[in-house]
Amino acid sequence: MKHILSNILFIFLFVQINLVFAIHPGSKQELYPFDSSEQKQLFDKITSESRCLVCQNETLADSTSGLANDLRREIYQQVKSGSDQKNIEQYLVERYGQFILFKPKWNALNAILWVTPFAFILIIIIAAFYWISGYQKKKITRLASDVIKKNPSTASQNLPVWSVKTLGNSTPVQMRFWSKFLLFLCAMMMATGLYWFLGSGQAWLSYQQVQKKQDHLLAEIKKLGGMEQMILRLRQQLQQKPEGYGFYLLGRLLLGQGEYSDAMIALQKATQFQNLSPEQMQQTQQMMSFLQAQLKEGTAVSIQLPVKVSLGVEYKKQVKDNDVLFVFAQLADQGERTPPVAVVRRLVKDLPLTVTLDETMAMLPDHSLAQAKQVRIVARISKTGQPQSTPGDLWGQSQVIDVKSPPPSIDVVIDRSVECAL
Amino acid sequence: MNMRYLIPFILFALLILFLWKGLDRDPHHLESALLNKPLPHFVSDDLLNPQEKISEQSLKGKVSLLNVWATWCAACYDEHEFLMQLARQHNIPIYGLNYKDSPEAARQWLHERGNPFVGIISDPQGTMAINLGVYGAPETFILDAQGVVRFRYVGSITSKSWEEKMMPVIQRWSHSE
Repeated sequence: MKHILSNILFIFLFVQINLVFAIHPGSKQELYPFDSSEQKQLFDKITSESRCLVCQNETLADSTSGLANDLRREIYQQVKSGSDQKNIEQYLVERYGQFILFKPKWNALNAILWVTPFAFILIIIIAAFYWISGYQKKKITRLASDVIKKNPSTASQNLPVWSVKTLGNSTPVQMRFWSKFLLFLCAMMMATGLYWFLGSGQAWLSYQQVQKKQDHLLAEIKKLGGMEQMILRLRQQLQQKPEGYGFYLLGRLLLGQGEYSDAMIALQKATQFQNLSPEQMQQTQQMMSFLQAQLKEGTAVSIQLPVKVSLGVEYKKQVKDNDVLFVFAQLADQGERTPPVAVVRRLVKDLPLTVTLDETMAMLPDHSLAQAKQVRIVARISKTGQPQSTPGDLWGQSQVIDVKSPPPSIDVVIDRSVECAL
Repeated sequence: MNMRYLIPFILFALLILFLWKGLDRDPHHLESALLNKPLPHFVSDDLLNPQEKISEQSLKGKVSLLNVWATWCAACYDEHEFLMQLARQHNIPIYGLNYKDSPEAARQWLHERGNPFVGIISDPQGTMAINLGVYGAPETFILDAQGVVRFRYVGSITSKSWEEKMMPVIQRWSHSE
């Protein structure tokens, strides 16, 4: 069960890969006209050096969160009224603490922060130096006392540390020096090696590879003209040259696009060819049983939730007709943590619209409206076409709905924008 | 034994201590910059009685809670029930700050679900919230009798966090009233 779940989730994610890159809603600069370029520069400097408290890795200049918007407006007004960087930063710090500054100010507490790394490096270098040369010192003292014994007129007991070379016959000392140095080097290499094998070194490398592959894939899909074009091409190719693996892939892609009956046909064709690997065969079986459940005709649909979706007036300008709209029911106590129990995909041009969610619209077997108790209906306009929320997406949600006794009509108004990337 | 051999151990222990502390820190729970400072000056309409004004003076006299909420905030739905329970069972005044919300929607919400607040600051633009250093909803401030911020809780209050984190603060400042 868990396997199917992760498998289908993977398909879902894979197929819905971000095709068009996030479009930033409007240019921020036009919103904030300045009298002089100095003021504009000051505004840009402050907003790009301050942290958005909501999306903590973004600057106030980049973030689409509501708070960042408010703070930009506030900073704009202060810059316009002639305030300087110091005062505005003080204003921000008084309210949100030092954390809001990406570049911490130089004060007693932060000094520790700045100095410690260098102090540590210095300590390590001094310690290593001392350790490596320590033996030499002893050796020198011994050699020196030998010299003194032989030649008592040399009064000085404290010969300089590095005078070893002048004492001649320094080979054993030099060897000790280099052996210690090598030992030090070995310890460093061993630490790196241990991290590599026991720590996350390899995981990091494979993450990089996966990332690279994914970027490559994205670029390929984009080159081909999007997922729908890709499916079309695959279909044409399969018509000319039917082939098992091709049908298997087509089935996966169609399943992800929500075209269940076509997906079923493709997978059935795939099984007629004997060239699928056991793993692919197993996945095909899983997908087919899932599709069967989805396509089962004549099953009495017992749960129907009619949903009216509309778009807030102030957002009408921010969307395009062909932006993708997802309307879905999520478990009220789970939210985004589990996939929706029912989902439909429409386009913005269909708005305002009424859809009826029922238990056949699930993404996973045994995770449908029939099993749900309380759900929340969410409508999201996805700028990227993918179901995961991305900053700049618009959305709205209903109140919590009792699935067994739903209200006669459920209204969802799309009236807010997504703030943070996950 | 030579003491200098202890130095690496002490350094190591210190490092572990820092890392250990770091494990429990949630960067999304920020300490309020207003901590131990009086509430900034403000005057606002009361959401439910627009002819009446609320100011920082209204929140003085008794240890009180100031809860930042909005109808668009999903966690506020969960928290609302707990606030209702608090208002029934405890003698602590709860003030609300309706954050970047439509006043009509907020009134409707309270009408449907009940009103745990003794007074509600209406802040449709979020300017008051910026002055409080609010960065999300829900957030709850504990104010002492002099109107000084003594604690800020970020997120939906649960009975556990109420018992463990907020009650001790409230008790401490109630005694020194």
